[in-house]
Amino acid sequence: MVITSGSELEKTLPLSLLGPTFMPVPLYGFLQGDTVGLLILADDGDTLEALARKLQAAASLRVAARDPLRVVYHDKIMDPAMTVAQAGFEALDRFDVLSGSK
Amino acid sequence: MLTREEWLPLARKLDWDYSYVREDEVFPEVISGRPWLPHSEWKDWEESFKTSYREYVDNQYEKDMAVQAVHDAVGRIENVEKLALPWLNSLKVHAAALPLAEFTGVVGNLRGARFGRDSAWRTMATFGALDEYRHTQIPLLLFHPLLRLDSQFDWAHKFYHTNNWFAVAARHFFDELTVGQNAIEFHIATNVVLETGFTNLQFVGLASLARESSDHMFERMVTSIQTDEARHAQIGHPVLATVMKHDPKYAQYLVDKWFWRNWRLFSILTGLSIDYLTALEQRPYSFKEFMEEWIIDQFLRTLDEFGLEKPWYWDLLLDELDIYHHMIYASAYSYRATLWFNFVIPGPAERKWLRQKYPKYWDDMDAVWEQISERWRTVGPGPANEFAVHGTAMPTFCDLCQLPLSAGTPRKNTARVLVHEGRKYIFCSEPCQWIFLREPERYASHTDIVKRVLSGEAPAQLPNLLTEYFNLTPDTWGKDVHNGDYEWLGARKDSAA
Ligand SMILES: [Fe+2]
Ligand SMILES: [Fe+2]
Ligand SMILES: [Zn+2]
Repeated sequence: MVITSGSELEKTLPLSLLGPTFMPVPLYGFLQGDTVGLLILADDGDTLEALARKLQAAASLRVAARDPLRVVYHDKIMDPAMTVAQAGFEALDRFDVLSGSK
Repeated sequence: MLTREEWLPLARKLDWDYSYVREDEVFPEVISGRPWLPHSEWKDWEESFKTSYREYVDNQYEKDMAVQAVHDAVGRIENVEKLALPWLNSLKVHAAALPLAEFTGVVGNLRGARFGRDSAWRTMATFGALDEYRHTQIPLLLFHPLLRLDSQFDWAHKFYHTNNWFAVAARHFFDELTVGQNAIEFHIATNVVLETGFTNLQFVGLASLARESSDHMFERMVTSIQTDEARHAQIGHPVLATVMKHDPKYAQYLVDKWFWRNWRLFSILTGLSIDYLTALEQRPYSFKEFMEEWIIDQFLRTLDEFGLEKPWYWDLLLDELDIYHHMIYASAYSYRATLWFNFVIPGPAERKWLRQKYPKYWDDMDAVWEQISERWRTVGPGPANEFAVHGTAMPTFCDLCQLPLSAGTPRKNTARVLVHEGRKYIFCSEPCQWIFLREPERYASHTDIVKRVLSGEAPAQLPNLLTEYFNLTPDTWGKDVHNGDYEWLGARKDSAA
């Protein structure tokens, strides 16, 4: 078994689970097609479109990015131009991203 | 001198009326369990083995010698080295999850040995405790020396002493099942649900996988353990029958709750072993086929025998047979460095088999594996690229089972958010939320890995989380067994068709 050292790891990869800076709204994101929910840290000012892209990027190992994207929150399809704050997202809420035409 | 037939009943059934204390002080409800009933309601408690201590010791000695003989013949490192790679990793899963879980069974049985409501029950629980010591020591003895072969076997001792996410989930389960449990709930949950309901997964299912994989040591070990389980599992049946007579709703609740909790854990332990960590040509059946034949049917018969109903979530459970462990495996593969064993990608032949066995949702799973394979194709194989084919965002966990939010289907994840007394919780599924809401005082203060990271208790940087919190090292954390070097990966996916 070949050994990868911890420091080598930090050099080669962006491995912070929470991103480089702590942002205020941790959310549970579920991308359609994925096998697990992911913790996404949103900025209040992020648009829902940007939030959906974040989730897509976070899940890209398992799910190919597809357009168009729809953000679902409390069973409603949201306006993607709305910000996280405007949409009323609170910490540890769930949101879903549906993608592709189907 | 008394004959065996004369003294054994005297020794096994030795109850008396208390004159200095009340019976409910000797057997407080909080630790003996409910419903609290006077001994007159328990006095007919009986089991059929009626073993004496001497017979117990003679029998166990024979069994231990038989295991030792197999160990000497085929249990050495040279033998283990020859096992197929996926199976070796299934062994690592069990080497970690099994021994100290059995040890918590010692604690649970000792609770029954003191707080069980009839002396024959207490006698049998004493043997049960000795059995569970055996089930701790044998796998430790067999697995831990394999550390010389592979450092991931270190987790035989280490696993439950870490805050690894899977250890947190397994501890949450076993602590409730055994360590922190009253005698009545312990014996119903452990003997009736786990040992009668799910034990076949381990002892019939795994034993036959081990045989197919030519792992005669493991096969012999679980078969030998099973002979003990079959005996002490008898304790739970008369306990459940009495609870059923006095409080059938509570009996139903305990069975529903524990069947679900067991399902969550065993679908991972055994599901991954059968459908992914056994070489394709050595899989005698799929996990689903095995569940249907050996668990579902038998459990329904047990329910019938006691006059219990099917759990309310039955249809949901049957649906999960097709998908839950597949979602867990793909998620775990993509976060493999957070675990202590190695993973294999199902190749075209495996995926064809999986599609045949699991037609209902396999399209969605196939897309996931195709995407992961594509990443390996892009970055190329090799240990240096392990983390380029690894998740980087924080995965999320259920506030009841503590397992990943991987329930439902890839199209529709069934996770649900609940606000309880001003705090937010999330559950993977409706049954997990239902269990939480039945006994919130028991579960509400436990924090899952995500909340530990958010509160700063656990590090947010993956390397630190792995090494400082999950107790892994570059040596022991999980990798792809082939480091992405699969022959079929070079070829396009249409070779799967
Ligand atoms: Fe055991
Ligand atoms: Fe047991
Ligand atoms: Zn759950």
